Amino acid sequence: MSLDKRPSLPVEPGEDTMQPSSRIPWWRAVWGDRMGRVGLVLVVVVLALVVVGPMIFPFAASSFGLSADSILQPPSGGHWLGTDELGRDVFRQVLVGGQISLLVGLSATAIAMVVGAGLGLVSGYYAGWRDNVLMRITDFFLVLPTLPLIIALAALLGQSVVITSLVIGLTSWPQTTRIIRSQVLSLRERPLVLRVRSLGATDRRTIWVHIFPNVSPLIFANLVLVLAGAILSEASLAFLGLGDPVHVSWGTMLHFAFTSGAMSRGAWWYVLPPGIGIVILVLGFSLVGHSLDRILNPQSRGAR
Amino acid sequence: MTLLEIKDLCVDYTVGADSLRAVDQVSISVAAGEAVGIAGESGCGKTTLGLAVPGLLPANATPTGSVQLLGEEMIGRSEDDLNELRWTKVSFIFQGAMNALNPVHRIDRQILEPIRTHEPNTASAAAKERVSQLLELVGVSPSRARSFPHEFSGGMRQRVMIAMALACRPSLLIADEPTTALDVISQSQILSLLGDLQREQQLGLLLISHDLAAIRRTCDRVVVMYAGVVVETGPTAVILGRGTEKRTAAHPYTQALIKAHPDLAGERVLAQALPGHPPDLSIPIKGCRFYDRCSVRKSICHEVAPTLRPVAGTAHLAACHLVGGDVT
Repeated sequence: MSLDKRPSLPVEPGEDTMQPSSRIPWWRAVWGDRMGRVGLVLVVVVLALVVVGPMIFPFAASSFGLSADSILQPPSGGHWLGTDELGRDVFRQVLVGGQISLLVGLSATAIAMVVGAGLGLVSGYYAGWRDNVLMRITDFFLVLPTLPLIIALAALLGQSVVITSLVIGLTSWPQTTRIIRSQVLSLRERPLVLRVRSLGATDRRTIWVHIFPNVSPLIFANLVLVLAGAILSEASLAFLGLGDPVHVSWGTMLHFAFTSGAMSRGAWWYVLPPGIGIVILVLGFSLVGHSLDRILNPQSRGAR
Repeated sequence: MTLLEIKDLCVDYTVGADSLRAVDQVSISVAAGEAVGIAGESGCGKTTLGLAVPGLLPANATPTGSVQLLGEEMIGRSEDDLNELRWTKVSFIFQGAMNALNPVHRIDRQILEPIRTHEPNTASAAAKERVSQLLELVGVSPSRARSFPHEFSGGMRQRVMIAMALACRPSLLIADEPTTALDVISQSQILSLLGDLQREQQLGLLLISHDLAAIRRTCDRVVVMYAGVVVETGPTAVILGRGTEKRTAAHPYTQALIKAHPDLAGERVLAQALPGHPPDLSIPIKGCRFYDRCSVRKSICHEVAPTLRPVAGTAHLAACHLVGGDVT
């Protein structure tokens, strides 16, 4: 029987990989998912307001302390969201505060991802005693009551954007480690790894070039969920007065609103905007994260 | 010239405190340009044997004995020394092409990997040209070089695996179930491809398969393994029959394997399944390993393990007490 030299052109969907069945970019996939679409819109709107907003909206020069009349003023044409207890423009604070909330959330997530994915890759790839030691450490962090720990650490280490990010980042990694490890454990048993080993690839190369790209969609989906959690943690910390007093985030605004008695004085314009900002941002990231998880993670596909 | 000489190879797996001998005193040789098939059920040590040659056994396996590839001893070599021989002298076609290819890299990049590793001085353009030639050789259009594995059918992925295995011009090719999980048409094409390449390039081929038809088509000699030992070996035409030659398998296990496969050309008889399972190797077996499932067993078979003895001439050997006339 002679060999058929013509190329055949059937395209089969991926069988058991974690790749989406066709190669569409993730944002398209998320956009196609109802939950993801809502989340994406929320996130983009907040991002646009917070990042671009301060550059386009005109603000009156800081007018605090001019007179008793200027404090806790309700919204008006000059101050779209009124003024705070020192007479500062709340709208401006909301936009700038959002930047701080996002900044802390992103840097904490970056730390959590590097630690979480790194440990997960090492633990899953080497297995054996290294896995055992790392997993016991991970379990320890997993069962720690995170918020009290964060509060204690923040109180101990001081109040600055850097320290808040570090503390949140170093307490949010264990679930990522667990997820990545379990996927790597299954990947390392594939003939792919044996083939690469037979090429003389070092462990580092095997992990980076062959295993990491296969788990990166999972890391990405997890990243968005951790980001939502980190923003919420920062808000909690700041509300309790453990935020950076110089760089005011949404949580810090709520803290000052609470301590200045804005709530009992009915100054809703001071309390609601940062609160709503936190809710929308966290909800948006959570929706995108869950949507991504559903698209990229075969285990949870159709489970909800 | 002898390409591969396996002598008294044993492989022990350690699982916890237990030890299990998956390959026991196996001796096989492959000459340059010769195709040898290894047949047997699942779990009889075929894959372990195949992995032992390029030194790719898992960490809990200990090989003893001797595996000589082109005169170089493979057992006890360091990982670095093994790397020099892998792909350039011996390469491996892995079971299940989808899982042996990285789903996130394009196939040209994956075929380039062994070339880059073993011939780092190859110019980029020359290496790319080689990839095109290799793809052409295995019947995949070079225009598909930039595809991802999931864009290929199962048969094409297997062709890519073969192209990869040939990338550094090895003298010996070990193919572990290269046609499993493929449809019959692709199976047939892959076997033709392997056979053609083997003849054209004078490659030594060690084809590991449970499929007797695949071995009959491709291999000059066949080695039948059962529970870690060789039970019968000889020319394929003699044991499995080919063309006008009648098959004369001597060992009851080989005969049972043949009966379990339907034969298109021969008489119309129903394929007969062989009942039972291979024995548990963690328990020592005194007599013949096939005793429990053998239909012609004698009392001596339970007591004394048979050794390989000539059936007819020196090429055809079988390990059975009923062969050679000591027991009737």
